[in-house]
Amino acid sequence: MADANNGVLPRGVVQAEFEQAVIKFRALLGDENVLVAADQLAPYNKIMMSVDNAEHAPSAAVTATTVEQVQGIVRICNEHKIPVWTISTGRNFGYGSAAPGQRGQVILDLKKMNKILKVDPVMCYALVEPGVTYGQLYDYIQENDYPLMLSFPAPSAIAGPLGNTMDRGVGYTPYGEHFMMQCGMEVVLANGEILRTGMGGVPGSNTWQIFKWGFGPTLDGMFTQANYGITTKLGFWLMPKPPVFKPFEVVFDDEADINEIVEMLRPLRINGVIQNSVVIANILWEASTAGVRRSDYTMEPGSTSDEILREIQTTTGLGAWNVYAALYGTQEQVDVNWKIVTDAFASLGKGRIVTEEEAGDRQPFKYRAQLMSGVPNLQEFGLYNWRGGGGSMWFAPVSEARGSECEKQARLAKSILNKHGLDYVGEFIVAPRDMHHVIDVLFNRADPEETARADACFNELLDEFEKEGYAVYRVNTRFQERVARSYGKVKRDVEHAIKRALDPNNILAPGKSGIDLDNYTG
Amino acid sequence: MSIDRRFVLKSASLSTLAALTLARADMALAATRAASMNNTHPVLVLTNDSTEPSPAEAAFLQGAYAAQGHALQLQRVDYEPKVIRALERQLRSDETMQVIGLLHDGLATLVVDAARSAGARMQWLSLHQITPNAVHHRLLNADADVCSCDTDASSMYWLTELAHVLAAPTLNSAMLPKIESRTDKAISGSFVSFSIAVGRPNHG
Repeated sequence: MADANNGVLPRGVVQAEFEQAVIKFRALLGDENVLVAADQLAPYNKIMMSVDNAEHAPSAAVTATTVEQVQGIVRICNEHKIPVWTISTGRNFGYGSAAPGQRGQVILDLKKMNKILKVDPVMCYALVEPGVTYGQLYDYIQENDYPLMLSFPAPSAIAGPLGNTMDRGVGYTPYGEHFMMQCGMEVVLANGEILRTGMGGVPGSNTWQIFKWGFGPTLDGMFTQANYGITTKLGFWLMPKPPVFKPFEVVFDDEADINEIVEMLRPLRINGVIQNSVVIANILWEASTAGVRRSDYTMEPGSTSDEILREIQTTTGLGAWNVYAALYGTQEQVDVNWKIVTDAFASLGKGRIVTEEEAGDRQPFKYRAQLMSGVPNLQEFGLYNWRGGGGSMWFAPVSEARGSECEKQARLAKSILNKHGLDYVGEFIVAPRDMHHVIDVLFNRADPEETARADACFNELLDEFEKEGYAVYRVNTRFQERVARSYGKVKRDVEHAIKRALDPNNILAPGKSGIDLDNYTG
Repeated sequence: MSIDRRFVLKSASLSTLAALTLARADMALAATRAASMNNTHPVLVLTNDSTEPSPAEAAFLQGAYAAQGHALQLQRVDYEPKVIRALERQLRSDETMQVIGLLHDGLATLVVDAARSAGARMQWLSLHQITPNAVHHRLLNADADVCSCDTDASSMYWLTELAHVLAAPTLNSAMLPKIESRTDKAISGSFVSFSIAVGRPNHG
């Protein structure tokens, strides 16, 4: 029978109980929205982590189309103690993708709740459902000729604003800190009640997407990277499209230049001369997104030598570090700031500035410029071809925007990765005061030995960075329990106290960010 | 390597297959999964965005052609958002179709995700890492990584046969011509093979 169960059950749930829940899901949602067959669930399980797929295999996937259905699903899950892992568009590549955090969890896929509820071109905000993608929103804005600009992560065309914001993802425009631009959310709680944050609880309010704070405690943040509710609507601010957009790249040839680059950029960011989330990307990141593969240069196993890295620089014209930034505003504003920026780089005495006119359609400049101007693309998926084999785990420690700190982190990461036979493929995303140091730990999942090395490497990265006082801001589901420990017992106690209060049956995404009433012992 | 399709179609089970060589298990499970679909529907092969197919891709295409002849449809995919969105619409279609391919990791990630988003059925998904000395495979399904082991790297014939099975699971193996795919060139690359069933599921 085509709909035969795939044999996976939620933790602590017996077959008969699970089948009762599935019958209720079918009655609520219709057969076509309850997936239990292995070939229906397989696409949810293409994980990129250093463990077997079996550890993240779902027992079922259900799709909802309305908030009322989400409430119904929560009710059924409470009745049968079924853990449910919610995804919006499911494009959290390298952080767990669409797979559940724990084996057997039922996936609640909100891809069909994809209505753009409102875009206000005057007040410059949007209100969307979970399944809306940035690509869909981009098309909507273009079709309506609204003078607005989106900010999104690299899988821009297919990822969505709700999921990315709830996971505290970042983009590359002046609105690149996405949670900072969030304004108002609707959350289905574990008891089925609906909470609207900020001004959303006030009947008749027209400021839900205007004023973030409302009255009393501000609750929005506690629902991000958490499992206290299911977010069904999200409001966020949109940047007015500037009359002039001027992207540029600065190419640096020496790995040691990172210190000076950061020291030069920080005042420009804090002063607001450069408004957007600047990227400082290393050679392997840029080469792979431009179509270069490791096998083009070497078939030797292990990490790629510095000699080969220099050879790639020579043949591609890319730098050891490649800075991408943009100026936004009127022509007068851009002209003034361009002079400040070029003077600053000139004072360094190193670094080649490349303008859009000089770069033309060359990759990776083209996709970087698109990301900084809110044009969706998928070019960064080329990263996965550098080594091949489907393994990708983002290691994303936070750093001070201080040159010496960035240099120290880059050296430490590279030495640990190379020790395990893997490459440092990294970039810094530059905020005024902090850096998201994002490293793609790429490995070949077809090779069990390399997969084991990647796992050991990721653990060592976490351990060694922690010894220096560093921690990651986000991590894939394989390592969320480990990372939660880095942030201390008191924080974890509070998180679990909130969980007990809001979700006593522990049905919402147990294990998310290490919050799991069944596992945490205090 | 020779595959007895009657054997694999009748007796394949994951526990049995795990004891076989990976290449043999690849074919067996591929045949079993693909055989659950009706064999009369169109087959679409997705190809990489390169201007010329690699030897591995050429071997795969040979097998698909051997199974489907001129009825085979080819479609190139790349990183353009409009291409991926169009593919997702195809995968959401009610018209029955089998979509197979051997793609690089980046594009395969997008295709698998498009299949999930479209609600299509992923009947076969496997990673293949080809080096001059060995070929590593990792066969994935919804529950477990079925097996992970190596095969002989001197021939790409397994790719030809894999494509043949995915494109026409119920054809007799005698239909597949013995194509000489040994090569003096060092073949390398990383690929994902897949088979996606589109359209209403066959409950028969």
